[in-house]
Amino acid sequence: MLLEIAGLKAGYGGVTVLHALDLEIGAAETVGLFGPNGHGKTTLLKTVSGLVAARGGTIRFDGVDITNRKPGHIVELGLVHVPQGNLLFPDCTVAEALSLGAWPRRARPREAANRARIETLFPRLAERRRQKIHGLSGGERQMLAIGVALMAEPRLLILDEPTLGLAPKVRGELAAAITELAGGGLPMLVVEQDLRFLGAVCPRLALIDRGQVVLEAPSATIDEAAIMSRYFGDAA
Amino acid sequence: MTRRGVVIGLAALGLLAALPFVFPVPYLRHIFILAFIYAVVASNWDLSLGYGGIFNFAHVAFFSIGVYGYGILTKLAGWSPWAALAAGGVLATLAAVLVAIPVLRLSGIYIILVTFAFAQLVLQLVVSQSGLTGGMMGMVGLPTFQIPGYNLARDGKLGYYFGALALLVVSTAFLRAFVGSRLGLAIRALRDDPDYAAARGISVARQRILTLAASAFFTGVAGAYYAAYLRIASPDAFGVSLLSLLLSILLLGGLASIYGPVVAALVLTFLSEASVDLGPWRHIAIAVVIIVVVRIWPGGLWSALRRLSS
Amino acid sequence: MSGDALVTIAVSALVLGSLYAVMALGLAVVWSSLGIFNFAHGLFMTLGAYVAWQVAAGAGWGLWPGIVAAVAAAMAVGAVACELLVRPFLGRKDVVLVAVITTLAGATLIENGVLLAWGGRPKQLPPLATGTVNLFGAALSAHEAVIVAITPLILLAVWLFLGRTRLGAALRAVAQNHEAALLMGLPAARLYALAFALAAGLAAIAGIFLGAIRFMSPAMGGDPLLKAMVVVIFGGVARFAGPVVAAYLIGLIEAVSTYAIGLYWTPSVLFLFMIGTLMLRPQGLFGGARR
Ligand SMILES: Nc1ncnc2c1ncn2[C@@H]1O[C@H](COP(=O)(O)OP(=O)(O)O)[C@@H](O)[C@H]1O
Ligand SMILES: [Mg+2]
Repeated sequence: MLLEIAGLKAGYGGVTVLHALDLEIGAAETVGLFGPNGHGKTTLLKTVSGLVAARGGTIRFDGVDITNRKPGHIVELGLVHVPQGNLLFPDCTVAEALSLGAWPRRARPREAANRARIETLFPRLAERRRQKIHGLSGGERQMLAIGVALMAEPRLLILDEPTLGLAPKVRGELAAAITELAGGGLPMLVVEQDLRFLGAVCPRLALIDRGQVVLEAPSATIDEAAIMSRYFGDAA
Repeated sequence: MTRRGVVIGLAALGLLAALPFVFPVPYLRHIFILAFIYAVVASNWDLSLGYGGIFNFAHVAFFSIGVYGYGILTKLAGWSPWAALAAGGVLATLAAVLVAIPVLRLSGIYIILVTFAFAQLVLQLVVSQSGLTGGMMGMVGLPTFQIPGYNLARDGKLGYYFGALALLVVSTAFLRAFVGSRLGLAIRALRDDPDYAAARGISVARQRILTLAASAFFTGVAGAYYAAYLRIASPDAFGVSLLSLLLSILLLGGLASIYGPVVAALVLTFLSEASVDLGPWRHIAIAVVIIVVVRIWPGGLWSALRRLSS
Repeated sequence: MSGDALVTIAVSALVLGSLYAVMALGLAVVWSSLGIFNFAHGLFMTLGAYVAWQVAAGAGWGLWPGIVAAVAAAMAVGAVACELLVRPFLGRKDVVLVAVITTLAGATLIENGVLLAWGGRPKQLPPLATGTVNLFGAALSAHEAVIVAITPLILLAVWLFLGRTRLGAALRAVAQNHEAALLMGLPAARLYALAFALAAGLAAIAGIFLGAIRFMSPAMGGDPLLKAMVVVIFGGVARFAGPVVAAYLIGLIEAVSTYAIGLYWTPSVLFLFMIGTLMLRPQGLFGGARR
């Protein structure tokens, strides 16, 4: 198993958000995570990457216990998290952000090659190399955020709602890039609201509900309409 | 104020009033006089910093303006000490309004810098105008208060003791009334949620000016009283060591509590006076205490005690 | 005004501007990366001057070893100060206020430490260069000429470090988005300590500049810190150029005002200038950022 989460509990102040959550990701697997807003998807990802403290349970990455380790340590192991709505560093340039992405020691040797690969994947970033990040569009910023993560040579890439709030055209571009990454054999954990997109990228889906994984199934067997009405329809 | 609060307050007042007769030691009275004055300064600072949330680091300058205002008016302009006492408060209030003007449009760190710079520049001005202020040497031999037929410094400073106590009582009553008033509520609303308060029509500018002005008056009076009591006006009144002492009083006392700084002033003035002989070590000790208190009891000792007792 | 007077004013403006630029840059580095103002900054200057004096004059090993020792000592103390006085409070809602209090306390600690170690008697550092230099008919000391000449090089070095190296970019990044920086594996705590160390090293250099012009005392950092404070209020910290240009401008204002109306009124002139600027442009003369 690449990632094993068992009985994970986490929250903020007096509020518990994750209630003994279990989830596993296999060696070369890409898993899609979905569920209603505010049910703990982002909290789960942040706990995995060390930003939010785990209050119980364990997280193992490639056999190593990473529960409550420092974010830097977790990145160094190759678990890289692209946060939701990542604004990056407004006053840095695109090139600077990419070079900072190669901060982990194990990513240094292949920095130039990775940069070239990323600029092929997102040609727009190559065009904007010298520009400050605050001048980028939302879509470009998301591409850069993924590019920065790829610079760290991830062994598992975590994406939190990468297409949130983007126009359909850019969404398509990003979806294509993510599909390409998955096709290239990079294991991923992707959170998305768009089930069709998620199903196309991820062979297996997990549904999170009130801080627990309540359903795991191959995407092909998931009845999109039923899920939508069960988990999103009631409220609508 | 609760009934219990009134009882405790009156009991404390009674104790302080009886004290000079129970322990007729002039040195003890001297320390209490200083403590009462520092308590006035610190609790008024609490009004702008704790209640108003205005990071005003010119507060010590308001005190010094009271000190020098008294010195210059009595010694050079020949004013009566009592008039100069009131003038100290008025001058400090005017200075506060002056400081408030640039502060109105700023926030956070910039307020700290501008007010701190104001205080330092007033100090440089005082030091440089040696014809008026005596420069680095300061002014000595200032006139003291006289009541016809009685010198306040007689009977082992008894008059000054009760004068300072009265000043503290009046200032504290004023602060309590201010904080409990509609204006006080508006000030706190503004501190806690500026956007909401502004949306409710509370004017940021007006509240800030009023808060600063209100916090300056008794501070300036305390400065003048201090000058009359010690009969000197010296640049030390601007110094970082007085600032540190006042800050530690506020920190130990806890922000936004008024009584906290008053109690802390009594405690810390004693410690500070007791450690005068330690020289540099005294300042080092105060600095370490400040850092440790901020680390361990973020809300001040007062609130830590209250939490313990509840 | 005679030509001589103009040159005198210009030289004085450049010397003051250099001193303030080196000081203010350190303040700006800490402020822009940690979001706090370091009131112990003036004491890093004092410490640098005294360590340099100890090595150069006290032990007699010469000025250059003294400079190296001063910068190294100040950097080490700066990093420790960051760890003890600031980092424990980062993330607290009242961090801005708390940092004022703790760095003031830190300043008291260092000042009295210096007093205990070296006493209060005035000392003076040997100059960076001896003799005088003739500039358009005005004589200035070689020491001041060196200050004026090498300050731009120091500023350039810092600019290159912040703008052209990965470490410099990391310093800026951690200031702009702490969470994203952590997720990229940037060592935030060490970067904060580095920002402090860099600032302290710059302050030590300023101390060496000043220690040969005026007499050294434990309180010698107070006035340059105040001026540097005015500089950053004036120029903002949003861009590198802000504090640097403002430093030379304040140096000029101070030089002109000292010449025209005397030393005594200069603080008031500076203050009026600062207030005036803030009234017209609350974001500082060159600032674009909100405050
Ligand atoms: N920083 C925070 N402090 C307190 N509560 C939070 C914080 N972040 C999220 N929450 C709460 O935790 C719950 C889960 O949020 P989140 O993990 O962001 O959900 P999702 O990503 O599934 O939309 C929500 O109820 C949210 O209000
Ligand atoms: Mg989310």
